[in-house]
Amino acid sequence: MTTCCEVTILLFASAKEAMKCSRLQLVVSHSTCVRELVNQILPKEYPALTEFLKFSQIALNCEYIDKDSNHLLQQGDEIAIIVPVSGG
Amino acid sequence: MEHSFISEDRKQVFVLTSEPLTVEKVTKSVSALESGAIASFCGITRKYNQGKEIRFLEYESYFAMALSELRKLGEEIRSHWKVEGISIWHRLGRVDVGETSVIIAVSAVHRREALEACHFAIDQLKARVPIWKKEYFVSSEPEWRENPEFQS
Repeated sequence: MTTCCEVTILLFASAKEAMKCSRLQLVVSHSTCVRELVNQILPKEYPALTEFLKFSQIALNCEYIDKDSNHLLQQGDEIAIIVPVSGG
Repeated sequence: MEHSFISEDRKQVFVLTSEPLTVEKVTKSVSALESGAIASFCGITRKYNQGKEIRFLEYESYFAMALSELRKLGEEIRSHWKVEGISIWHRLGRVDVGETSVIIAVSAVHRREALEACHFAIDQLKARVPIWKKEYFVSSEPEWRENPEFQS
């Protein structure tokens, strides 16, 4: 039996404007890791995000995480696409 | 609008706010009898960027993560320098030309620690704290800025 989990993708600044929304809900299989989400699932489901993903960092539950991480996603996780920051 | 973290001992103060900032308020938040020095940095909204005249800026943030990154930054500073108080305040929403967008203040027994920690704090803030600004120009379309310190 394949179980699934629902995760939230948070968008900010230029990515938010391009997608015309600040969050996306996504159902992924239980064995999905960060790398698969960033390199395969998101570009496939949301082609408009592809360019943004190239020059962004990824945060999982408010912590930066390597885009190539094997960390498995869990129900309720928040994955933020951190486009280049410009504070200060 | 205001999001903040203030440690129990009040030695770490991080504030994201849509209210105007003043150096007095921020330096006061790190003043302590033990300190012989307070170093502060103010970031001001410039009138021109790359030759284009700016009308105003608009800031947004991933609040929860910004406060979490600021807390980590505070811990990193304490592991490198002997400092007393660390206070970082950043504006949100519209900020007009000439207004202050960020203020950092660090107190320490001696000036060197305070100055170095303050310098480190603004460099790190610009590199990794999830805050974004959009520049609204007088005669062209608005643009999102990107700090060169950010590493993708």
